[in-house]
Amino acid sequence: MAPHTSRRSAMRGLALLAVAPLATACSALPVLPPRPAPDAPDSAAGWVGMTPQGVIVVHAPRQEMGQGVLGALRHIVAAELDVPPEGIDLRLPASDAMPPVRATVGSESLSLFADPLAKAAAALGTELRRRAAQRLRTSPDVLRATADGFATPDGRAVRRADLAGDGPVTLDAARVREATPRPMPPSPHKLTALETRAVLHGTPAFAADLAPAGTLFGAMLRPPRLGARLIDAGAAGAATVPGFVAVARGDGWAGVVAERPGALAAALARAEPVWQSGSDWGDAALAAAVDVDARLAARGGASLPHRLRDDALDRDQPWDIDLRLDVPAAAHAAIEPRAAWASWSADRRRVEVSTGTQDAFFARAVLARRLGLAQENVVLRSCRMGGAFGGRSIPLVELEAARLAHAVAPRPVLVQWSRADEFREAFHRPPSTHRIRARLGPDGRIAAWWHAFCSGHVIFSAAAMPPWLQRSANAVSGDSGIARGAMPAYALGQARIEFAAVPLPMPTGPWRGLGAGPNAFAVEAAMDALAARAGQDPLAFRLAHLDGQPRLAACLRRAAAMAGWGRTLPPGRALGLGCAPYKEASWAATVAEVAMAPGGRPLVHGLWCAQDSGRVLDADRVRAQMEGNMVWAIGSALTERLTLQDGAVSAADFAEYRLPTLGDVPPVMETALMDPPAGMSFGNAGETAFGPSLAAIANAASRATAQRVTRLPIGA
Amino acid sequence: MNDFTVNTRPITIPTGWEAETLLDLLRFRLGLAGVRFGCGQGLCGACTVLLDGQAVRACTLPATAARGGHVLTVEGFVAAGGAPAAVLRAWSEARVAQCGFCQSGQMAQAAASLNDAPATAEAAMSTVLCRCGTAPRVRQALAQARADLAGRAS
Repeated sequence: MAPHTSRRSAMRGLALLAVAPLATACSALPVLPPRPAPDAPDSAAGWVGMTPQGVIVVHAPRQEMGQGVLGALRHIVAAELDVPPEGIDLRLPASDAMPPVRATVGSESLSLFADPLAKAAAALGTELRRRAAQRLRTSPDVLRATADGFATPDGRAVRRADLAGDGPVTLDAARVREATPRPMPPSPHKLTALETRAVLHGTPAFAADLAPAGTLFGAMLRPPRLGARLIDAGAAGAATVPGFVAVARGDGWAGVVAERPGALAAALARAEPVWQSGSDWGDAALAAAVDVDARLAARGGASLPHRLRDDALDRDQPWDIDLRLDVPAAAHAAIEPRAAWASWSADRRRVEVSTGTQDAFFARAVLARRLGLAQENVVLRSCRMGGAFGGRSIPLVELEAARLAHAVAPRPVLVQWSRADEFREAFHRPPSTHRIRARLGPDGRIAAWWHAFCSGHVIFSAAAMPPWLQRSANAVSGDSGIARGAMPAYALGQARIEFAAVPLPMPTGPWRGLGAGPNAFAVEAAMDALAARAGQDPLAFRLAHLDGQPRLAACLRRAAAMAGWGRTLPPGRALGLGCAPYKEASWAATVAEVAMAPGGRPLVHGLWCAQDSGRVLDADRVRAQMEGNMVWAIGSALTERLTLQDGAVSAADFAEYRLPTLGDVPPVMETALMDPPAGMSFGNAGETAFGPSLAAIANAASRATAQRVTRLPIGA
Repeated sequence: MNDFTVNTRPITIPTGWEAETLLDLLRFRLGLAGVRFGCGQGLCGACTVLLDGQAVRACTLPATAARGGHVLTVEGFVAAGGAPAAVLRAWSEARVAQCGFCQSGQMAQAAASLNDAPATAEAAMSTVLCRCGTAPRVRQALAQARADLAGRAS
């Protein structure tokens, strides 16, 4: 296998696998997410245009989940066209309004899409200017943009609305290809002001907010165990509830539709579905499945199937450190539960679905396949997401809404998942276990490094593919999501980095940063243990191994300086470090101050994070992402853990799965945004600081107690 | 006959909606989408509104429980002035919102707490969850709103 896997190469592998089965298309077959190139001119041409009334319309190639990308996209177009940002009609992706775009994942919105969007806007600007010059009988070069059109130096003007002619102004690929955007201007202060104002004032924005009057309410019957099969809906009792509308049934599923949410809940409570078989897994089975030591032992202690580094290692010499680290499954736990509303045409040939999704075009493809419709007869309209974190990258509720609405066509049906559905029906961060052994050389530097890990799937998620395809994909290529962040930035000497992926009855999939968080926790624990073994300070030890990584080293120095690294603290309280690159496009380091409360519960007293996100448009929004990642790290370090019991996820509510609250967040939380080297392009921001911050908290807790944290959450 | 008021609007609970929650009545019948469903169990706070000045969880409260009362939602914060308006200003200035889904609940809790018990307002904010991790900005905005109100009072 190649020394480095990427999601793209993994997807190529999947595309090959999918060729043969597609020849015998049936609704059970998997659908692969479309991955059009972000810079394809024929795509970008569909993003920008002008209505006959002179309104600039932007079909955003990215989804909004709180990262603030809409503000950035609006700014890019406004700056290029010299128009006021608030005058732009910016729309989230709708599958009938624009060419397919790829999923909003991986913190790559600006790095991949800023330039193509600027180019498309430049092409529109050139076209409008050409038309204006024609109208004013002058050269395009002498025109200056005004708020609503163009003007000549002698004061003659034309409005944009008068440039449209008979229809909307659209672009073609050739114009986009020829366009030259101007240098993007420096950041104005509040790029998200328009969207934020709407949200704060209660303007409908999320999927369930936008359901039209007359919408019915639907929900699926849920199995008591993962993988259980529905034998009988037992819905006779539901039909007696006032407000009951319909029971819908299909192969292996059934759902109820009612006039009002309360009536729906009452009808569901009266249903007595009969389920067969399903998982009987508990926590012990889950732990055994991802036990890396058992995997290694089963293969003679020699190797795991997927290798990122494969140097020869002398396994017979003693190791200086030998750590086993365990990371539990975790939920996305977005505060907005998944929601979608669907409405069919009266002839049931066409369905429209509105939802918050990270991938409208993947959702469309999945629905078309499952419903047996042509793609043009499925319309996906995106809504703002109330948090996503990877959880909306695979459609789930969308199909449920379409199925239930089919039964009552043409009335729209809203399916809004319950909190229990979110925990028990969704996919999650997979549990993983890590074995890291390492050896120091005579110079006190790392001479040998062996990181073996075992995890449930991430990219090859069971939420998107059946078990046979998971197995086939896994045989062809490693699941790059599991591997993310496992290649440390440090000089390691001889290194072996390898992993195994295991199918689990609990669906697992993309979760903020994919493998980067768990891998940073493991790698950084090992770095602290090695520093201790070498008798060196953890900061100095890391810096000594970062010769080729000036941007990460700079983050480390800055975070350490902000935190006052090395200062004296009372017994039971300590500072800890964590750092990591993210996708080779951003870098972060965090220092945590942790004290152990009576009872052994750690308390985070301070967090200091320095991040290099490359070029940024809105520094405050990057800082907001850093803060969010630090809070996520507190959750993963202190409380978050999903367990299995009797074949089902144990947690059903926020009492059983505790998210970090304001009381868990330290009053001292500082962020520094590093100046990137000159000429650097956009990096990423949304996931970078999570791993370093998680590692810093764990390392601080280890130092505070003089006992290494080897399991998350700490003290569990 | 009016059952209660929402912001400045007199409301009669429509026939058939007597058994629904206040949250669903507000969202799906009265068109006030700013109050949100997060868990349906009163545990996340996304559905928090003010009922006679007190923060209540609209997802577990029957609509009939609001009879005779005054409900204030985020849509009415500007007109309400006082703590609700100060909270809205502070939230905007501190750029608290990321996805924004929970923020109407955060602001309703903040407004109620600042009116009721400013000294313990920060502790009360721990009862409203935010998954984006805006807690540091919530803390900052709450302090700003409190200072703003104190400044106006003096």
